[in-house]
Amino acid sequence: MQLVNKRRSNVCRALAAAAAGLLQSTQANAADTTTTFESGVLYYKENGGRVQAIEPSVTASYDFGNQHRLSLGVIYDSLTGASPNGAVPSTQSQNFVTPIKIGSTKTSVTSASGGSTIISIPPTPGQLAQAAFGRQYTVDAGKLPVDPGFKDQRIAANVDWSQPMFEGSTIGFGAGFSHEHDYQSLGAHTRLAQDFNDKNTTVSLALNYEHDTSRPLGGIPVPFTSMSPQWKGPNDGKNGVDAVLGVTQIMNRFWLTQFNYSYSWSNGYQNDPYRVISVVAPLTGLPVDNLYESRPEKRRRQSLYWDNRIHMDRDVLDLSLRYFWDDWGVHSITADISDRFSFARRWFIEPHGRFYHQDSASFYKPYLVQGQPRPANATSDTRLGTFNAYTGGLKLGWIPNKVDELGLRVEYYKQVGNGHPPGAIGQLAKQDLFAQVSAVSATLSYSYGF
Amino acid sequence: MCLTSWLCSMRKRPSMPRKVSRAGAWVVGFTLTALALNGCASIGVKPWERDLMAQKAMAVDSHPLQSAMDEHIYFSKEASSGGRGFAGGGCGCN
Amino acid sequence: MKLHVFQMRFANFTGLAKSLALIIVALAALNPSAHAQSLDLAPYKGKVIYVDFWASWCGPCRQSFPWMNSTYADFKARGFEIVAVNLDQDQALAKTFLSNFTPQFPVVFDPKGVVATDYHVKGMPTAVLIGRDGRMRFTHDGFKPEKESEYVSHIMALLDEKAP
Repeated sequence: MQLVNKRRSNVCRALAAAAAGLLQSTQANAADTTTTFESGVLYYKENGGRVQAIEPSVTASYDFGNQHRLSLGVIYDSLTGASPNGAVPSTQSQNFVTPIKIGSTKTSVTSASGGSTIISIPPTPGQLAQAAFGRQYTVDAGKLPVDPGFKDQRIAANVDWSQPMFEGSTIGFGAGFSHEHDYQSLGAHTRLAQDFNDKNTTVSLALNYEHDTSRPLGGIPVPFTSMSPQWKGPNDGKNGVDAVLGVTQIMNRFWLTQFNYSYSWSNGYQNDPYRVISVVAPLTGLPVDNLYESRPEKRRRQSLYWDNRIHMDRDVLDLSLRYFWDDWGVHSITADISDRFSFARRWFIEPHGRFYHQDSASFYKPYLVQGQPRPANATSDTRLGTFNAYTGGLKLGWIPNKVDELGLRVEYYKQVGNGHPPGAIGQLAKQDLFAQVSAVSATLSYSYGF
Repeated sequence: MCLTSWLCSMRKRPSMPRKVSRAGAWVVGFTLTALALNGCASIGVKPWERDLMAQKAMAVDSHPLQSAMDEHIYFSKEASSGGRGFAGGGCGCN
Repeated sequence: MKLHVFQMRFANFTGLAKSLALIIVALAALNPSAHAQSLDLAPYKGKVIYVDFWASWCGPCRQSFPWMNSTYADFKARGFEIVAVNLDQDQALAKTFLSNFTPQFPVVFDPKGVVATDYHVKGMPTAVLIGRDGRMRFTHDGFKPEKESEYVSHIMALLDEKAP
């Protein structure tokens, strides 16, 4: 599920993590079950008629004996709704025109999307036939500009093999792909784990390579050119490499701790091809143009992650902290806590809380000002801005036996950012320049083994 | 192999930028302190003391599908990603 | 009489250093205080004894019990004994486990791992096979169904020996 816009490069990665995690979690019950299934359906809904998604997924794992394990995972998701296009709100209504493919089943406009009209573009010399039409939507005065014609489907699959290698070591490898009509991702991963100290210490290394292709509707726009319905450049893509080095330590009978260092490098097309940044008039703050955003081609991400699981009679406390930073200037801290409380033998209830804070990327700007020197890169994507995010949730679980588990989880997520940055020009001082997000999600999950 | 010495050696690696050690200093520091207080010899459990570690809830990633969905949501909404690991713990059965 | 079991594996003798290490381990095992609560195998003198260390939460242990039941039935008449040493912290869990398998052989409870420490148990399950001579002859790390015939061949080899 991409939820909003085109930032999905970790689709395979997430699946790989799921497969790897499955491998790990089934080790606990090794030899109890040879086949395990993990299935779930996620429903996600954002406030204000924005993104709405439904995502069923299943991972099956089979043990051929001696912990030679094959896992297969499939995720499908379908999402609809409106997504911020990056422009600032204005005291005047705004029109946006974007490319459309006519006469194809792959058109992203449906009657259900609402709010968009198909318009014909006056022909200009040397133009492709497809560009004779465009899709126009109007945003009312004072409203956050969102593209209402947002509809996407994704299918992703992952395969993973793992087996013991030498005494106390495990090797695993696999591949994954993800497909949408305008984005494709292919990846391969491998990982190694070695036990020490009577299996009390585990050192692990995971490597992932991924190649993504972006083929947006209307082609790849040149950064800092004006938003237009014209058909643009060819496909583009990026390559990424991730490495995670981890140490897991059993401290005592009740306490498991884990420390990871992650390094991630990617190179290529990092922009959101549908996202623009407003250029505003220097005094009034009224938008005069919308330019396609521009991000650096390279990005180096790193993080430190520390997780603790503490068993306290009827509770299992999970506390994790993460510090993340990248060379785009983003720094973030994440604290996540959950407590699984068992009751009535076969039931548990698990409250969950998460706090997240990030500082913006150096090239994050809510808008550009006409006549001022243009920076090398700029994006108005609030996901690269400064904000806090809060998550609160509750899960109810039923465990009919040692292996199976039925769970229902409901969560609320809210981002809080400063929509009134100091120095906002003219009418912008009155607008909320942070695209506030709040969302509810529900997950129904069932895992079983035999 | 003693974990303390391993972590110490990791910290001294020249390839780790200054930012890293500063940012993670308290995390690394806490872990080292915890290890030092315990002393390497007394950290960990005997093979027959892994009853709680064998429970699914104590697994490093006890609900992989849920984690994957969560990571996906947060990845779509925030600039940060990754960090989780996968190995270790468990029942340690032969 | 209490049988003091030394680390005398016949296999895996691959060098002087290893032998020395094993002698040190054996000397340490002679420390009488370590045997305060140790396993009393005197009643089985002259028999082939299969000492199995297990816990209810261990998956392979679950697999091993039906095999132990049938093997015990097959060889008991020839002087084969099984002693299952349970290492659960919570004995109630062990009893629930046992109610599913109703073993005919004795089960002893060692929640503090005193016996397991004596026998240098490295993982769950571990089985130690003691010959008629009272010496530790084979150690089975874990229980793997595909190795069942190998386990049986060890037992039969020891049953064929004569008591000293």
